[in-house]
Amino acid sequence: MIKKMNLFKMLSLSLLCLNVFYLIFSLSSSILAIKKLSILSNIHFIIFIIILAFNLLYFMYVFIKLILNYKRIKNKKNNY
Amino acid sequence: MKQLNYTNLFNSIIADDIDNFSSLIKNNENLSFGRFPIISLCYLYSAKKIIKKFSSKLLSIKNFNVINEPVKIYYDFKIKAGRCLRLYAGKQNIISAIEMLAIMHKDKLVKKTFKKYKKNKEVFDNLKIIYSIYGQNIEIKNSVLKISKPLISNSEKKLYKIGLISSLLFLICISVLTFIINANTGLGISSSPFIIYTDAQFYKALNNKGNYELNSNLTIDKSINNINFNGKLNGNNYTLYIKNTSSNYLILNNSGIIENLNIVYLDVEKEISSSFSLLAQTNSGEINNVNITCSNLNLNCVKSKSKDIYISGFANTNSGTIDNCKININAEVDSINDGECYISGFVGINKGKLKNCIFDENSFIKTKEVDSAAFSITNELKGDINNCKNKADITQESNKNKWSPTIAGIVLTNYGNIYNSFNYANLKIISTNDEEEQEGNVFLGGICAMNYSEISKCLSKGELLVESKKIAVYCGGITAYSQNNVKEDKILTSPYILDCGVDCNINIITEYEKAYVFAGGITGYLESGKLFNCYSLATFTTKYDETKYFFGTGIGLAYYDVWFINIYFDFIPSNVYLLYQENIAIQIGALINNKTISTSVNLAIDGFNTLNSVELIKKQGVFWE
Repeated sequence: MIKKMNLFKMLSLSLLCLNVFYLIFSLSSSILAIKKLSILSNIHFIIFIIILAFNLLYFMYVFIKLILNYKRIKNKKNNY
Repeated sequence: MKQLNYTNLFNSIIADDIDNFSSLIKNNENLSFGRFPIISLCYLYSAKKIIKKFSSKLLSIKNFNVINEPVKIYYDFKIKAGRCLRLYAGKQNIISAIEMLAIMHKDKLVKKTFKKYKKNKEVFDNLKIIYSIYGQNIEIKNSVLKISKPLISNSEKKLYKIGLISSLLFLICISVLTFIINANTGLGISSSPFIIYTDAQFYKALNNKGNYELNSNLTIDKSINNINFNGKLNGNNYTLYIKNTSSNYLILNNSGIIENLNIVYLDVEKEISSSFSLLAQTNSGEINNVNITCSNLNLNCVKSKSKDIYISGFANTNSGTIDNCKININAEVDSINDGECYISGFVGINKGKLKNCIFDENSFIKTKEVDSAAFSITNELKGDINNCKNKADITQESNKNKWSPTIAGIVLTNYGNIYNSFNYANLKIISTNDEEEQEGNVFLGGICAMNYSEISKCLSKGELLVESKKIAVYCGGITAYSQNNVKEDKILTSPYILDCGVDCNINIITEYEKAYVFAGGITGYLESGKLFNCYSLATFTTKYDETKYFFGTGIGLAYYDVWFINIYFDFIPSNVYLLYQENIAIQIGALINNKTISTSVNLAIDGFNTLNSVELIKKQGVFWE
């Protein structure tokens, strides 16, 4: 259990770092884009898809875990 | 002494001191510190080394030698047990190893160890209570213990909720930023191409494979000729103003898609010794809805290392598709120093498709010893020219000996297919060659000069004018010269002229008495093939005579064979309607066999019909415009 939590904490931290990096990267790309000085590279789109996928997977994992936990609590109360 | 040993044994478990434990455990394996057997204590204090070595032996013990329970054990157990303590309050029952494992949430070890407690109902009941306190269910299936997933603790729940909210926030921020970038720059995919605002971005785009679109007019003043473009460029109907004309083409090779673009050249004046194009040297991709304008194209062709020089509007060689394009150029081209040079509005050599294109009116091509056609110089075997319209007048002047000035309204030399195409422009050749030993012929065709393949559903409406001092002339409303395409004694294709119409004036004058003219309403010379469902309303300024002006309302000169006394043609005419001309009383101007020319004044040709008025011809099924 403790190991699982450590793993989850590490995962969350890594995703946080990725997101912050991407936010900075997107912000600078947005400024360049508004000033019409963009570099015309599709690297931004590729990174966007990767970040989006990671975030969506993380979100779904946590959401499903909480939903299942809620169902177990409900069952436990019904059993009482 | 014994008490000291028990204390040492207990301390060795806490310290996980396997050496001490090994020496002290002998004859004490069945010891139980109150309710806690040794193995339970090992699990309580996570004595991993001791568990690893002694667990199988200690787990098999069923009867215990109970001694005093140290208070420390109770307090330590109380912390770990939590609400499970109520199960053991006021009782002296042994707390088995499996119950300890269940209290410590070691579910995997519980399942593993259950084999040894399968038949112990009391232990199973206790396990049920322990797990129900933790919110989990247990059951036995096929002698295997099944335990449901544990509930998430409050601290874990907090962490999960923070993770959920922050990832949602990030998703929103990331999406908003990406939307801003998409709106201003594009993402480079087909549904969201990169947006080009500056010429620097344009040069970069041409060097990359991707999806691009223009967002403003651009001025190109940098030479960008070594580019192989393989992306997709949508001009969005903006204009490229080309200022730098130092190179002979804008793009070396296009294998991508260029569409919805206007290209404007102002003045182009230069000497060239290699092929020149206003857009690409070669096109193997698609060029759609592109308009090219050049108000002054003034070129001098000099002798080149390569065999021929092609001057083209869109591509010197096309194996792709050029669709719905327009060109408007005023071109004057000279060939000096024996340069072999050709100019066409669209393509030099066509192996692909050229369709729905227009050579715009108010354009012209004027050349000196440079052959020209509106759409293509050579239409190869796989070449397709469909629905193309020429409205640009083309003129060639020549005074060079051993030169055959050649002009056509659509294609100069055809080995492929030309269909549904129209020439509305005036075509003119002036040859002032008056050398004693003159060589060369004039070839002027309303649609095609030299035809070796199929021309169908084409219309020739522009005036055909030739002034030749000394050299012979072949001229026809559709083709100047039509014959078989022969390679190594094999006929690859034959000339087919099908469903075509001619409505123009043919005006030819030569000076020299042996400057023969072979001119026909449909074709100047016909060797073989088919001539089906055509009509000619062509009028002739000059009168037929059987010494020089071999004019025919249908054909100028026809190849024939003789079998006994009968004349046979290699071509098949059918359903051809010709307008009677008072100055041209015959359908075929002259016949040729083995280089001997004879007249055909009294020859009636099956398949040819001469009618006296335009109205009568219009009533025939072949007429269209």
